[in-house]
Amino acid sequence: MRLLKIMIIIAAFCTPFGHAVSHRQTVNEPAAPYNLRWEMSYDEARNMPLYSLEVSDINYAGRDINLITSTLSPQEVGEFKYQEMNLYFDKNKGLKSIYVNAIINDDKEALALYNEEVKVLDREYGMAITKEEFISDEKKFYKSLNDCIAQQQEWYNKGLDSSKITHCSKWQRSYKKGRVTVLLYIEPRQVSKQYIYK
Amino acid sequence: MRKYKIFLRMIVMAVVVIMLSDCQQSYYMARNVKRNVMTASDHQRAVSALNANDLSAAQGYLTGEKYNNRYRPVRGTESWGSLQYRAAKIVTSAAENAKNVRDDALYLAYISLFEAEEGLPERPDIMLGYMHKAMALLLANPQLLDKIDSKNVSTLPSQFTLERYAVWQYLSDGGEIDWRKKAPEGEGYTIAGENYQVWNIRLKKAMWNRGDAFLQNIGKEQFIHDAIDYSQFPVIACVAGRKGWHLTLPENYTKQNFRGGGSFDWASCSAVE
Repeated sequence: MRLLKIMIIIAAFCTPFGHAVSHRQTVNEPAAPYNLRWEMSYDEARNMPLYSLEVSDINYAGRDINLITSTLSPQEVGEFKYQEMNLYFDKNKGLKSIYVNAIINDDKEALALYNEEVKVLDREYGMAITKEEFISDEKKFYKSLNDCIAQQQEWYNKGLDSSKITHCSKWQRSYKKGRVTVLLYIEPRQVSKQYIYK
Repeated sequence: MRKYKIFLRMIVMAVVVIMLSDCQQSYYMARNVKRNVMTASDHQRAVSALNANDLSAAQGYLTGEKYNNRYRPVRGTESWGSLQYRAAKIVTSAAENAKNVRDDALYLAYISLFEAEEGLPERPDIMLGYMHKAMALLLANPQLLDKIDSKNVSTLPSQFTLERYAVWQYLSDGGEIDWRKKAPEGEGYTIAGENYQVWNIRLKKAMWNRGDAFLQNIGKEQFIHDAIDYSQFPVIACVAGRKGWHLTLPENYTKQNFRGGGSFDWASCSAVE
């Protein structure tokens, strides 16, 4: 009985505290990058104004009819490290994803950009929730990544489960904080970063 | 005997080919005669109607509902382009005097006056003002030009028109184009020392909410290249000099016979007829 009382008292103290923690988490949730705002509509983004923002929807079978795919010159939002930027809007829920991509021929430069991003993301989003950073031949960074993709393709074509491939070179990690997930990855000749708001 | 037959067949074939090509030629001759007569007649009727300040004729001229036989220039008389300009003036002045004017004809009149560079060299704002009005009409009603069915009328603002619109507006807004500026090493696509992404933002800004929507289906790189390149044409270079716009021409800029164009008079900023 006494134990139960103690438990009730502890629970009574903990409930508001637990609530405060979860509340603080949403407050601490990082804002969308590039002065954008999650859930803003396409028109709101355009009227910021973002002059180079334009719809680039391509119709294909099974396309989400509420999805608006758009491109933006990264320079317009002060992003000079990447050459390509896409914003994804849901017609009802607004901005839900931001994708940036840099074409980099030199693998050392690609890795440098990746590491630079890691520093910033570690600070803003805490520890990465997944990390797959394995390379079979560090001297041939891009080639190793390419070999892995080729092998996955081959297994897939043969109808095998490509997730069971071992020693496949990959260089990617992901972060999560609040409703935001960030994927960062190197592919042959390019580095990409994607923010997803769910 | 066999050889003789083959020879005979060849002769018959040759005769048939000659007869057919003659036939085609006489068809074209007959068609051209008809077109020439129609063209001369339409031209004459258009001139007298526009001389009489006929609003309905002017609107019909612009929309292509009337005087649509414009197969060739009629020698020794007013050009079709000059008639277009006159029709546009009649329509816009009727609209300014609160007369009832069709919106599609009014749009085409505004576009014509922009293309005729109305107001140059002193008042580039006049031609740009016409273009703003045209774009506002088309944006307010995207179906505006749907009823037009004429090979003489463009039912979309043409790429060349939009390029000129963008660069005139950009410069008149105080924008800078420096042809002596060198692009930084390693930049991808550049023109006049700046990369295409920068130009994309600047030109879109110049056309913001007044025509940038029509760039959607135009190749972006060609649009940017041609719009910026257009700033080297004598008419814009001359007006920019006169207005003190921030346009720096290349060091070896040739003022005459620019890219095969005729002579240009830098005192009046216009081509020599």
